[in-house]
Amino acid sequence: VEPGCIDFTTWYAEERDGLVRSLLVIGGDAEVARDAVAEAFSRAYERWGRVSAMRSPTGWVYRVALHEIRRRERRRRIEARLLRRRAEPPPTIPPPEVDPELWAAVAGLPRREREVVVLRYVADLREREVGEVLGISEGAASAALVAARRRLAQALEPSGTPGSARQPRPTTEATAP
Amino acid sequence: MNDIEDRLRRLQTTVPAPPLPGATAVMRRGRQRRHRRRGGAALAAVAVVGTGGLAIRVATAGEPDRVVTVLDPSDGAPPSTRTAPPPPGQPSTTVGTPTTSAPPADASTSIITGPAEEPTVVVPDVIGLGVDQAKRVMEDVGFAVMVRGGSGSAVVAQSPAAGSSMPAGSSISLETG
Repeated sequence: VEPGCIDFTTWYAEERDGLVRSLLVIGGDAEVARDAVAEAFSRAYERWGRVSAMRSPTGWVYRVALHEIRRRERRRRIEARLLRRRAEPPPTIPPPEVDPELWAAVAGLPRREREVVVLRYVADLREREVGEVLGISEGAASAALVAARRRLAQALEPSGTPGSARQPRPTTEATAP
Repeated sequence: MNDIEDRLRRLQTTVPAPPLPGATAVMRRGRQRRHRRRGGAALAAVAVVGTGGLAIRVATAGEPDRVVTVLDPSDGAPPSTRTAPPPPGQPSTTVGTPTTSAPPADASTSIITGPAEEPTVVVPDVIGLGVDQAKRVMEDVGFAVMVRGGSGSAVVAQSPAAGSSMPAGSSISLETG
């Protein structure tokens, strides 16, 4: 699409599901994801003249939405502390259609690696765009991606050994005595 | 490794996207934010209509008037008339007369009635204005702006023409000379 020339309604229809799905995988909470997406797109429309003329309006809305879920998560932690309760862990129960093993492995990644992996594979952004969205260099995004893939490979069972998924696996190759 | 990438990519289709508000609701929220930011100056004139309910009518040459419902009468808002000076360059606005259409139950601000479900906005006439002012006027009513053309700072042509109805969020192209 030619920059500066996109129609808001069309753009929203094209990008909304990818964004809300990505935020759901990153944060694990459908309600937070939904609110953050609605907020981010309404901010885009608030200044649509400027946002639509950007090189990547999509990168902009992802950045705003990620900021928004971090803000909401922080607020929830603070509220929990004020109420002298433990912060509720984000619900990580995978939706029924989803590969549960993979879901758990992604949920177990450090935050930055999870963000990188989701933006790259679920949102389908290029590595340069992933870096732009997160405010890090392309090199840092690639490095986080490599680390995340390695960690996922360790967490997921090697192919062809069904049943071992639920058992803890050693992080390094076990050596025979 | 590729296996993991494929499994991650599959999340694009298997993770259900939480339901989101429609484009109209998101755009309404964006407009509200914009108005709040600018101190509500975009509302030019407000009058009491019929049995209650507030409406403003935006008159544009060569185009039937459009009525903007501002408040739901069922809120029990006291009848009052507020008038604010129109911002420079704003299309002329006149006090509305009673209309037959009842406002939707959830109308809180600026629902612009149009022929379709989607809200449409009348394109203001910005020819002769400075380009910055023209952009502000267009963005205030909900359009995106594309500027092309000469070295001059005043708008000499616009497309679509003033008075046409366009869905909110459309791009208007301005030519300077």
